[in-house]
Amino acid sequence: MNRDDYYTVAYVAVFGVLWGAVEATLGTILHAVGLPLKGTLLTAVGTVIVLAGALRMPARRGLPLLGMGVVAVAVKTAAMGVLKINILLSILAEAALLQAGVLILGYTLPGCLLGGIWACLWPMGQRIFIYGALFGEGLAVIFDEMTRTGSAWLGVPVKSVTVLLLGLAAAHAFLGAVAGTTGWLLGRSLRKNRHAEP
Amino acid sequence: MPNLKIFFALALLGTAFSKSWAWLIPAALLATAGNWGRAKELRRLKFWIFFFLASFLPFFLIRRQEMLLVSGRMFLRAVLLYNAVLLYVENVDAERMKPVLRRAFGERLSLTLSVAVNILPVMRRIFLQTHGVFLLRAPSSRARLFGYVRFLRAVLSQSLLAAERLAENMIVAEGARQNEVHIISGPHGSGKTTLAAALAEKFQERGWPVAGVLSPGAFEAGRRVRIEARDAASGETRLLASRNGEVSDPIHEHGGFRFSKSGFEFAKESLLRRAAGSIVFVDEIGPLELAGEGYAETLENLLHADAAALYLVVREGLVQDVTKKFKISQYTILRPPAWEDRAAKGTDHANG
Repeated sequence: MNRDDYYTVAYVAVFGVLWGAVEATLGTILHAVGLPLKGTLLTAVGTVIVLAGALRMPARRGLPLLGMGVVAVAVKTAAMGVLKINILLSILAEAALLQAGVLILGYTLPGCLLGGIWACLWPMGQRIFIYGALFGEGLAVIFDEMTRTGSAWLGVPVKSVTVLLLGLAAAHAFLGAVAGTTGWLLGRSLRKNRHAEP
Repeated sequence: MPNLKIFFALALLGTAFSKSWAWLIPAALLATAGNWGRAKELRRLKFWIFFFLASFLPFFLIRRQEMLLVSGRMFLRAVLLYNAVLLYVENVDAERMKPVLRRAFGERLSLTLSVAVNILPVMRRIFLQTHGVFLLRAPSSRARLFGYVRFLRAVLSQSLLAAERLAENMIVAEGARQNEVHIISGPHGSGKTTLAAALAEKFQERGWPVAGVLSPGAFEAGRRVRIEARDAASGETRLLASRNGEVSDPIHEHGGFRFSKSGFEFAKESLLRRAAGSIVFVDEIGPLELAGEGYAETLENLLHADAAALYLVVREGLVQDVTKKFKISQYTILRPPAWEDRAAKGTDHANG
């Protein structure tokens, strides 16, 4: 391995651990508080961390965001809190979506926005993908549950399914956009001021 | 028996995924009883108090019944995972596990995962120190709200510094592990072997132990038709490859040359016949070695052996492939065209 490879390994390890630690600590607390969009909030914080780290990497070789996701899964597994297979799969999926966003549009503001939006939309789609595809739960049941949840949050009748789903998706995408932008801004500011003190 | 214990550790890890008290409680009790005699920590009250406080912290912060259940499971999982790690550490040979991890995850990811596990205490320290500064600087709730972004930024800044220090440490450690490597590179027929032979001669003249193999060629009408394997230490020579059907025991065929099995064995023996601290020449590393044949295995051993320095002859255009394949991170390049006055420059290099 050459010099750049060692930098990649170090950055992926450090920021992956940070993401995993946030998932383990903040995740447990948010799980208990029962906030709406808690999964998306968690994803947003993770997105900020890994994007800032990836933007600061001297050489972004391979798939660093996906690597950070794998490390985060390893940390989350050993973190003793709420252990669920779908949480671990979700972290991997979010990392893959983030990576896909920046692969398409580069490590730029649009790339970070796209990755952030996709990653934060995942918690909305994960039930359909994971429960539906993996565990065979009926898609109709999941769809029904989602519309009822959205109805309670937004105060819109259940019949306005399209509005509800669009509202939910917009809320998730907004959080993702904020996270992507914050990650990009933090990454840039860290690059300018690398020895910033707390 | 160690294998059985490793499977038991894996089973404990498996039960940690369960939400069922019926699985978690017996598994935690069984694991603790199994490790009771070996692990003195388990017999200390402060260890159990620490685990209890760490696990029930979320319940102390958010006093809800659901949180009590989550914290209870967390406590049992902590006990299970601690016991599983104890069994794993005691019974798994890390050196034997490395190639398994490399095969399973690839070299870079397995290294990343092992680094991630090792830096957990460092990250915890960064978090706690930064959090302490954050609490001191933002005592009011409003200031604290704005301070969260500054806190995140400070944690990220400290993490960046940690990542850079970590990378530099790994680079230094790798450099210390690897022998000094010089790559003699140039186009076909540019005099790479001549340069290597001259260097070997100069080193020998100065009494430095030299070993390895040189591969001078015989030319007919400007075309190389024969390659010999010459022991760099003794000067003994054998036929290594030929285009003219001289090889009676072919082992490889490449670029129109038929390589001799006995010639290769002689060359490998020459590479292995070295004294500690000797200067080893390997002429040449090419497509055959990149395909994992020829001197590939011997070179991998040489790179981490007790040689003082390695001189590798590599054709121009293959240097990157060779350094990547054999993970040579630090090396210098010597080029025959600069070798105008061979004797003089060879002397300089040998002196250097």
